[in-house]
Amino acid sequence: MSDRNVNDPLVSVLDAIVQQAPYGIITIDQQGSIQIANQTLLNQLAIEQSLPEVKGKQVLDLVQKPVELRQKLRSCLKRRRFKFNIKKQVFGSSIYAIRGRKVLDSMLITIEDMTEHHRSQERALLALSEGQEQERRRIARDLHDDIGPVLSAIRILVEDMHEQIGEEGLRNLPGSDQTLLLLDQAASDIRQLSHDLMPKVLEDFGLERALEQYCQRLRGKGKLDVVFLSTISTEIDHEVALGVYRMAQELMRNSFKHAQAKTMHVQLIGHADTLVLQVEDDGQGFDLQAMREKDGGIGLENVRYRAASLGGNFELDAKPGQGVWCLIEVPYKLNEA
Amino acid sequence: MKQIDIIIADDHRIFREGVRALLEREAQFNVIGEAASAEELMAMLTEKQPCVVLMDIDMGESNGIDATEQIRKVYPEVEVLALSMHSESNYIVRMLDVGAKGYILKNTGREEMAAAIRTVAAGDSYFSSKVSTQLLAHLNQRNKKPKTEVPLTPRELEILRLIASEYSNPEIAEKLFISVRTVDTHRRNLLEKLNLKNTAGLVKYAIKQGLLDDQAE
Repeated sequence: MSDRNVNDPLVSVLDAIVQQAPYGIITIDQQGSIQIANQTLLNQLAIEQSLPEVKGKQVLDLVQKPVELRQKLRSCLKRRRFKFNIKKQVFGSSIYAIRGRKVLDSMLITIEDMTEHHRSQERALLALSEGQEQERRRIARDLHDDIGPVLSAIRILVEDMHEQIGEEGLRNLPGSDQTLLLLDQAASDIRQLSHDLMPKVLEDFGLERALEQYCQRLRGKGKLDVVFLSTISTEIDHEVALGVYRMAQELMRNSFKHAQAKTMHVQLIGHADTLVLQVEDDGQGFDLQAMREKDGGIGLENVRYRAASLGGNFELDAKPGQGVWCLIEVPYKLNEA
Repeated sequence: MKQIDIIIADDHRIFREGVRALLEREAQFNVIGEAASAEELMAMLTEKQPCVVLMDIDMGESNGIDATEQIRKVYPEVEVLALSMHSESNYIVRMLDVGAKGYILKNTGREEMAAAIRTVAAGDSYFSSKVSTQLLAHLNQRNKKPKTEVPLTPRELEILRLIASEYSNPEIAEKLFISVRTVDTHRRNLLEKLNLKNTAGLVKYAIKQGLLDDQAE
């Protein structure tokens, strides 16, 4: 395995350590030739050649995929800067953390399997989301069942009372003109609250229609034009649909409140295994740092967590003066891990 | 004045009673029953049919939309007036689809409810003004949808222009200060939206749309 004294027992121990390490190890020289490797790495990268065959070969010849790793290796060798860090590399059905660093005159690359780590994180976030959703559902139902009808009944009674009192009498009752208005306002607020907590439209009509409806609601506020487009034709898991709807709500609310935009584009694009939600506005953008300081940027962090809990990812681009663009991509179906 | 028999279908007792009390003011209206669910309603109808059913859409376990569909099939002389807290166009359109003649909101006043019942009992349509507004907005949007051209957002146009100008993904990423993965996603989205197979298709489309016309590079 090395050019040094094979008889030195220490060498054998070191060799065993490399071979038995619970993560992939490979070192290359500054020209890209493979010096040391272990079988774990060969398995991780699905390299068919055996250990003895690999030694001395060019790493770029053997590592075609994953693409991001290959690009990093090429870049390091070209620029002679032997350091990189890929926090989350998806390859096949696994997720790896890949690090490259300089050790003496070589570059040491380690590949750690983070699949279970990410999956259990996803599960935890999902459990948290589900707990939240159940709470919301309960509260929405209570609002709708307990308070809603009472308000409606009160309204009927008050209107009745007004008729009994007559116009003359009402003129002498200060505030009587306010009653119905206030009741309507309260009823509307409760409806809104209940809907935000549990969007029944989503359950009854699906994600596309629900989003379209939400766009219409924003349009109705008069301040901006919302363009909605959807190309989805695949069925979506209910939790995923709910998650995407919530994230869309958060992103669109953000844009609406902060952006001072004229137009917002909301898109649902269906790919083979995943769906993409894209929200874009032509407003003034925002300074992410400043926003974080203002309200802790909680909304956006929630979106990030939510996307992760669904096994997807979230990207945001929001430079001041250049509008906001954000994207979420999630698989149609939840991971059955 | 012809008498109008009415059944009120709503899963909230307080509300049902309030509406009943309200309607019984009018000599013309005769409330012949109250139902708390679609099942109760259908059972009631086998005994006696009203002129109008005041139908709540969301009755917990029961569904006012399905009930309306059934009623219109089995008892076509019975008219349905939808009464709901939902003012979203999806619900309105659905109810109309299954045969409801009118749609009013629960916070409506006595006069409007009476007018709605009379109109629907005569076989005509009635929508409260908020409902009409919602419907119009809905139809407006439907018509606005461009049937031939797929709208691209400003950002997508920018990326398409760069792709057609032979920038590679990493170059585009660097130019726009976004990640390579984002560029890749945009590319996939464009292919999907425009129904194209590969980059060559994107370039052709860009040229056809005149996106490269003012390029000095």
